[in-house]
Amino acid sequence: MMTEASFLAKRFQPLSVYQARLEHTHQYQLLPFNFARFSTGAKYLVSNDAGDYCLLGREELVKLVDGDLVFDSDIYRTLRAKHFLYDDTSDVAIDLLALKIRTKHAPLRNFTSLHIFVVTLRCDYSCPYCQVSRQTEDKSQYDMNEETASRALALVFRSPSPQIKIEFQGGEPLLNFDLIKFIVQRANEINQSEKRDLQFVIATNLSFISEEILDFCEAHRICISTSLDGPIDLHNKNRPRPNKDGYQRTRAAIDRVRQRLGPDYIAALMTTTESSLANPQQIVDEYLDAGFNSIFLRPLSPYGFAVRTRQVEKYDMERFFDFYKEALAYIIELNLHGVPFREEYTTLMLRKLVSPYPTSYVDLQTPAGAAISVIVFNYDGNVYPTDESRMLVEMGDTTFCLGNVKTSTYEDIFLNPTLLQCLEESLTYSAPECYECAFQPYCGSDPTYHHATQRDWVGHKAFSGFCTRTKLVTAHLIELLEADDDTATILLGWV
Amino acid sequence: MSESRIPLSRVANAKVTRDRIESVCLRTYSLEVIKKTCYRYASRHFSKLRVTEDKAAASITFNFPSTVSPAQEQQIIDSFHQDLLDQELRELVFKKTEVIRNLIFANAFANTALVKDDD
Repeated sequence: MMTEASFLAKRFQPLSVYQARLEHTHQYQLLPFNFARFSTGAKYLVSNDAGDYCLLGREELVKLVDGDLVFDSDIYRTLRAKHFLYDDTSDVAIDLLALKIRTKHAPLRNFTSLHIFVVTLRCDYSCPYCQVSRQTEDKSQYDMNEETASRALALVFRSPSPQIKIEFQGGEPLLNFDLIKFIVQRANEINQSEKRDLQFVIATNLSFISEEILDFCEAHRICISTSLDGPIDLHNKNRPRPNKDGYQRTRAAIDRVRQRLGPDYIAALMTTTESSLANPQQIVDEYLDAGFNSIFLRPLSPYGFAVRTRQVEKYDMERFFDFYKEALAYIIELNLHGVPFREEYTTLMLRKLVSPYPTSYVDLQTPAGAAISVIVFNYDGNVYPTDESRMLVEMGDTTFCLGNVKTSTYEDIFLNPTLLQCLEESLTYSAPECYECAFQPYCGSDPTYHHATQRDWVGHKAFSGFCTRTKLVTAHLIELLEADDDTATILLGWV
Repeated sequence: MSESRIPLSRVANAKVTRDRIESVCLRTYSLEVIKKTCYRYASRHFSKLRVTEDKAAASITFNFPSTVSPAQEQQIIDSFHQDLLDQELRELVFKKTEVIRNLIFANAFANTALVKDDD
């Protein structure tokens, strides 16, 4: 009769079986990865398509490729855990990698959540870096009308996305506030039956904020996004208006909006001009003083007046990076002293570095976020796949126009051959240079930027400021994460 | 990044330039590896690539403005040769993992409207 012990023994393999397996696994298989020489050249950044990464010395890298790593050494286990190699103890690696890549692309299922309505091109400011080529206030031919807005709204609700965000832009959108009211009310009516998660944002310089507007924003839970470039001298130099009081008006209005709508309903963006470069700490201090807990350090974009006034030529991406680095160092220092404050671009990049989850940031997606994440209805009814492509229109370049709400169907717009070709060429998995770039998992594609700067949707990466910025920032963040535990803890706390 | 960063404004303003020609043996590196490496150096003074008549070597011309010091120039050339080695290794990784990469992507995008069944 079989004893319990002998019965169990039949269900367990003897040690020799496992030892044989250990010997067999010396023949590990490589999983796909890219690498780039890093820092001083002593280390290599090794990354896979899912964004897992590690730093290796050249000798370790060559051993990995040649199949010479010692089984179960520390580096072997690390590389196996991060899916750079697999053996017969880790044969789920392929499925896991596929799952992570699928997760990264999850937003593709519910495309187009952000719908931008350019309700007017009129503006009271005369910023030399204006990327949308504003018009003077009295030219009402640059206003969107109700008919155009209604047709655009019908297209908005054709989107399959359960989340719909309608953002009002300009010019200064509050100069056409009656139309904003019309769109919000009409969208809410449609949403009675659609039942989407519907949100509204007004991107405004706050010059024309009033009690009536605040009442309406409060009633409809509308978020306000404004511009704050830094301390008084810098802000008023960057963003001139007739009475030279843009800073004073903006700061007062930020407090007013926050008091009425609450702290979560007001945000600010800054634009970096050449004058900003010497003031990273003062700019961060200004945001703290204005009651914000984060800042988005944005370089100038090569569109509109920024090109005509040659503002965009006044610094290159390397100089911007030095500015960014100094500001980030200061922000980390603030955090080390107990002041919670984030840099938003850093937060986006960190999320890409340490998790397989996607970000909603349109500029760092592949395929590009054009029409997939955002669609723009211009004041005249023309439809564009990115905010930047409507900026090109005011420079006489209509390359990206997908149709007009008065004459085009949803299918005409979203199956437009220009859009489809643009999206196909924006896949970094197959783009020249990108497909073998170690920074590719953290990057994306910006066809509008490369069209504007190189007249090519893909662009030559050696000359791309977009590429330079992503590489420099990503490399810097990895260095910071590796440098010391306190800094890493702060940075990872932002994700 | 490992290579020295020379502000673009300095390069653009420099009027006097000098050529430096590097010869790379085509038995050591494939033309594909050399081309890809040159592509990366397009913004860093790479100027011209040609194969010698006997097809034994590739001749790579760099054009340095006078604002680039001899030490910086040598640093860029050293970096270029290091990148040739790296690119060769990259090609090897790609060759070894191409099939599995396609399999991973096929799995990642399976059962989506992006993939059409053969029928």
